[in-house]
Amino acid sequence: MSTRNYWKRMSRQRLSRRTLLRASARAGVGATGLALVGCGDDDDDAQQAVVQAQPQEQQEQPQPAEQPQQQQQQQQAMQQEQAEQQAEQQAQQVEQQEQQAEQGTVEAIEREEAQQDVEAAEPEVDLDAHVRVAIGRYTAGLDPQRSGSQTNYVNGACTFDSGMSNHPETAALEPNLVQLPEIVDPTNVIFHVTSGVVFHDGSPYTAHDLAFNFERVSSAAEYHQGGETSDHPNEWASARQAFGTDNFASYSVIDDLTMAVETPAPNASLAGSIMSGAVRHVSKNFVEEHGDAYVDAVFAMGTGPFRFVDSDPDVGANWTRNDDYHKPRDGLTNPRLPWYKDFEVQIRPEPLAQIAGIEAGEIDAIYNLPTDVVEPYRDNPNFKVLYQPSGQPTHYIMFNTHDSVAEVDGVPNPFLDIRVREAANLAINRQEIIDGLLTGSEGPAFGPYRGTIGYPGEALESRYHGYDPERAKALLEEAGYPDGLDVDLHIVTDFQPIVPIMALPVQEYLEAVGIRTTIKEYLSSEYFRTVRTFELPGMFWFFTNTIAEPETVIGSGVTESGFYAVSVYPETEIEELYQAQNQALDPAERARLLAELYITFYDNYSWLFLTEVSAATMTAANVNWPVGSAELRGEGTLSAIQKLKT
Amino acid sequence: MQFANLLLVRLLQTVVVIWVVVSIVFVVSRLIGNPETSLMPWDATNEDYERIREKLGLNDPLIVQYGKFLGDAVQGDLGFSYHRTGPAIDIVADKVLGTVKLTAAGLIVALGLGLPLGVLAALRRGSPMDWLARLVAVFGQATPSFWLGLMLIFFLATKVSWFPTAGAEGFRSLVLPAFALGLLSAAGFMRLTRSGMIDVMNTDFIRTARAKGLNERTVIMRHGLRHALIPVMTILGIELGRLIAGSVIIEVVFSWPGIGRLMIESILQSDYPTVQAGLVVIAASITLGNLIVDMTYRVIDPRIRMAAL
Repeated sequence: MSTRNYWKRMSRQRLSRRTLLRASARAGVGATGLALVGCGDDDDDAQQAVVQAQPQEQQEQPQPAEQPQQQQQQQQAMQQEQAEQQAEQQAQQVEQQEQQAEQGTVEAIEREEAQQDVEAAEPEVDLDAHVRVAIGRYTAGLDPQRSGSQTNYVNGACTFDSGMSNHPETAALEPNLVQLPEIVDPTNVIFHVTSGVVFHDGSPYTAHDLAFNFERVSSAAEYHQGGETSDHPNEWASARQAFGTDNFASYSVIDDLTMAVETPAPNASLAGSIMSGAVRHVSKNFVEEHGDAYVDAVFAMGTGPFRFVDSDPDVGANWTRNDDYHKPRDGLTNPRLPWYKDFEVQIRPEPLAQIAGIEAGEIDAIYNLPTDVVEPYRDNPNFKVLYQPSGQPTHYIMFNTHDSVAEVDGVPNPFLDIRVREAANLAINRQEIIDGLLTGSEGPAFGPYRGTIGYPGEALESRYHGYDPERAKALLEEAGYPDGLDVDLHIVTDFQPIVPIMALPVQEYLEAVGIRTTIKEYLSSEYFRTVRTFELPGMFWFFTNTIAEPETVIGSGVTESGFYAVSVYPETEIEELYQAQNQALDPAERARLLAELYITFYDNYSWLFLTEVSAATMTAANVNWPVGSAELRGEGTLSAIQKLKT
Repeated sequence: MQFANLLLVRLLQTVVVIWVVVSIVFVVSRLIGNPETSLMPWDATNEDYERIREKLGLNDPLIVQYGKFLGDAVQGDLGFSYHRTGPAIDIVADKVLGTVKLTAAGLIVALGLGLPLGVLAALRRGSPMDWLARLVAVFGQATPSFWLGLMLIFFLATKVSWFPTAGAEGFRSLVLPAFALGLLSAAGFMRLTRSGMIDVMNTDFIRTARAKGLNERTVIMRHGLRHALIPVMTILGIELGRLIAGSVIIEVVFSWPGIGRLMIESILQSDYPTVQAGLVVIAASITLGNLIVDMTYRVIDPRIRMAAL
């Protein structure tokens, strides 16, 4: 079968999509997550400076024969050197203070400018507005920490808060409910709770709440002991066990605002993981008083930018602004005091019905829409159409290389041979997929971690595998597969709409070089568990969000003990690099090790790297939805929506 | 056979039908889904999965699970929803009214459009009216309801703003989904009514009625239509089932809160108890609807009543 067949069938769609969507790409809309590129350069410079300094120190050492006369000179020299060092240190301190002052001044100016922007914008914005957002599905559970309700991200982001947050532009970790960690020594950290934060019932957020949340997500809270004594009728199972006290050797609440944590080993990703948006914090007193079932089914109460009002999983949900929110409007777009009073989510499963809602004035904004659905509305003055990477922007296919499938029906697993993995990577014409099936603005995937700490964008791009089917065929022949090979391609059909669509051209590209795949389809309720059994041979389609802290992704998908680590390569340096970066408390050193890890992983053809996938956002013409370059329009930026006065 | 006996037999048949449907769903759902997957976190261990399977009774042999399910079901206990924190039957019951409203409105549209058009087309056979009615019938039967729903939203909700685009607030929000749901059945009713009326209006007793000097309206309504409606009544039960089944798609397109949307969500989440409870309600509705139609049919047509006796 020719690889052209798919594109012939798709030719009409391809032309229209190209024409319409490349314009948006030219406008630069939707480019995010590249702010951290280049962290390794600074570190390289520092290393060169150390290497250059060493010969000079060696030259300055005195010869043994001249010791009697030289002792005084030496002492004088030492004193002089000490004096010089002291002077230098003082100069450095003064310079540092000046830099800090300058930086502080810059930050103060930036804050002042941002505040002026906010004050200038406020008269234009209807601060009493009722904003309505349409989404396709809204799961019933309100508990942000229960697994059965883990997809209720809207309620999680509106009603609750995370321990820390990421800067909208740089993705750097920032204080939220908790201040940045105070590192006492490599294995001891102190977390200071932000003072003045209150729950919606007026009670203060304390270190006791912080400890309780870690206990609860790791199913260790005394009141339910892992769900066995929970009053939840279907058991209470944590959505994020790995983000709980599993990471701690010990912990203690020192006072209402302070919690000390000891880790078994240096853990560079600790704060970025346990304080991330994956864990939304609940009130200890509220949960203990009302029980798990009440928290999940009846009422949600947290510290978030919105107060929960009511919800019906088939109709929608309502919130109202939390005027006591601890972060005022300051020009940043992650959770802040909302720009509107009432917030309503309407459940509309059909995307076209969502768009019709905007056109009829019943809806103000929709996010995470398929890009082809919004194409006809790009030039419509009643809408604003914005493209951006979606919640899971990077797609790739994992080769199962586990021991459990070292042989299949007596035949060695072909993916244990790097030549086969390389052939698979060279078989895919990513640009044709991007131009023909996607918006044209996406790029090839280099891993699951675009936008994360240490992501070496330029280095990876220079290693791009490219499209070379002839070379792919030659590699397969060299690897002992002159007639090609037959494998299963496992895909999930109901999680990302693009997957079953993109799987067809990928299948044809692979078949063109001799990798004949049988597509096995799964619902998401089956797929993710199937993936992590590591027992089925073949290839598994996967996708990953853009998250600043890479531990979430590499800890589950790259390291050998990861839950979704289908492709493991013990003979390479990947695991060593993973362990090393996780213990590197110096941010620059960690970024360097991560960059090395990413490059090693890519050079190993560890996965079949596919492409990024975009999604679209639509709003009514009188609605602004600003976000930072390291953010997505979605649950985490709902408070930034502005409805203009008409 | 006495009418009461007949009713009893049909009720027993209804119970058997519901039992068969639910049994099939029970077996199929357990063959294709693992509900514990959607209840547990991504980092759950195999021990965690085993624990929850044990708690939900999913480790028991299928026959044991089935026996327990049937035992509970006859007591009105269809289990506890895995995802919605409540008894499954209560959750389904909350949505019954929405689906009943939609189905009833769809039936009204179907009968309200189909019968008059069928009569008019028959009486003016070969006229532009007949052609128009037949065109509507072909369009109605050939148009997928989800596409029709989207077109109705596009033209009547967004372009002229006569109706809301979605939701279930007030009478206006019912009009478009009811029309999208009922048009297919309206086409069927129209064709049956037309052919029935054409046959009836050429019979001797109609000629006799006219010869007696009855006015045309009485001839058509009292003598013609009454006879032409007998085949319509025959398919009413079938159409009722089709309307309930069709409401699943219409509920999704119009964001209408009903059993259909609940079922789709529950299937995606492998929420067995809710799926089973929903199917019990749907199967019961369709079979009881058919039972009522059958009984009414016997009342309307003396020939069938006599045959049954």
